[in-house]
Amino acid sequence: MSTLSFVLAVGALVWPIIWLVAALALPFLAARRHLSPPSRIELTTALLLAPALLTLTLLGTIAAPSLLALIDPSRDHCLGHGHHLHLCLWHGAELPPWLAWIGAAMWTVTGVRLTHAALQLMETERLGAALTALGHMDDAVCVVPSSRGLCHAVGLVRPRVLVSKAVMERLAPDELDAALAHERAHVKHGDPRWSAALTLAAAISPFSGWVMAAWRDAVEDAADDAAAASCGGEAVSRALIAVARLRLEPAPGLGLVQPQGLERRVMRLLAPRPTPRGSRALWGALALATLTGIGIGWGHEGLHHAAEELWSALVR
Amino acid sequence: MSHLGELEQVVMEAVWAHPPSTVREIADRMRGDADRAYTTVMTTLDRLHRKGLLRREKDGLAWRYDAAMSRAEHERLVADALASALLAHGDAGLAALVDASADGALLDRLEALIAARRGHP
Repeated sequence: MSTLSFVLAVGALVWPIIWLVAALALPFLAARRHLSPPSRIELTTALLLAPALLTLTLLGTIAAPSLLALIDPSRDHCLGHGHHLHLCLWHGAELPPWLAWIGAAMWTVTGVRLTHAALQLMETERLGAALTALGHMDDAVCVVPSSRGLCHAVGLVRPRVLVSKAVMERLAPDELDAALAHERAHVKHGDPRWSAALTLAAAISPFSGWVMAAWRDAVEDAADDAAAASCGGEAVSRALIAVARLRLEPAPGLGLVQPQGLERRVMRLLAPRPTPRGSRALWGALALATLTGIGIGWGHEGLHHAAEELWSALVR
Repeated sequence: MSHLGELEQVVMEAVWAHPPSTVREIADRMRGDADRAYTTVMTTLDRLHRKGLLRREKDGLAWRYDAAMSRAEHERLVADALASALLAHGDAGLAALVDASADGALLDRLEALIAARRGHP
């Protein structure tokens, strides 16, 4: 029971902090409008990873003293808690019922979201592997004998391009080159793996739908630019339209209709390119995470006690 | 169209290799590494017949099975089903050239725009 009360207390304490941080980070998303696709990728990646990293950091900080006491009993901080309440894996936490319910709800929501994301990723891998088994692989491009408009980069272990025979046959040669250059750019940059990692990170963080959509837009724009650099923006535009036409043909269970995404990309490819501003958002976030990690390693007890102070304020 | 199980795939391969065949002929061909009981092969053939992948007609007392479609046609149907599932599945863990379907009017308009730009660079 004491461990359960600790877990519920941590849920009630940590997740609201993460929700607050995610909400405060959201306005930074507006900055992407002035950035190049690679910089937008960095910014959105940082915004998606930050709540997940902060979650792990907070969980680690709060649980650290209890776990360290297992290795070195002299690190046990369970004595001398006169001034504030005690958060401990072994002795539990003072937990009013209303906070227990909040903790349980927070863990449940996060657990469901993480499970759903993991199942989605497993299904993507399964479908990708099954299609690859039916196709013919040549230089990281697998041609699948399908009449659907399939042109995807997939694969967590072995990133590759899946392209259907219909796409191979229906696109003009320069359009096909453009489509394959676009997908090869995804494979080269490991976008399927990033997509998987960020899908899991997004499951931890609230409001992640908008950030994830912005990350996808940025990744597609970057791949469009890579293809346009070798094949020309017009060929890429025509390839997008040709594959979208194939997707119009009857097929059970197609995705949501979001024509504005396609229109935006075509207009962008046809427009003259302004020189975009750069960003170091991802490197900045990673540096901050590293410094935070070092700081926590050094002063985790202080942070742990700060969490206990916060808990005391909530409960009393 | 579902993906075939391991035994179903082996039986379909045997039928595609020597159509049309009886249960006994297929079971005899499958002897060796993947030795299967006669009744197992018979059940699998019956299941494939009910799935519409095999046709059959009486040959004396036995059924003679033939493939309802060629191996290439079957692979295309399976690939279409898997591709449709992938297209409908969402975008976790992958990147798509076009992430959603658009309406024909928009595609016509975008094509006209490209053609117009080509005329007036």
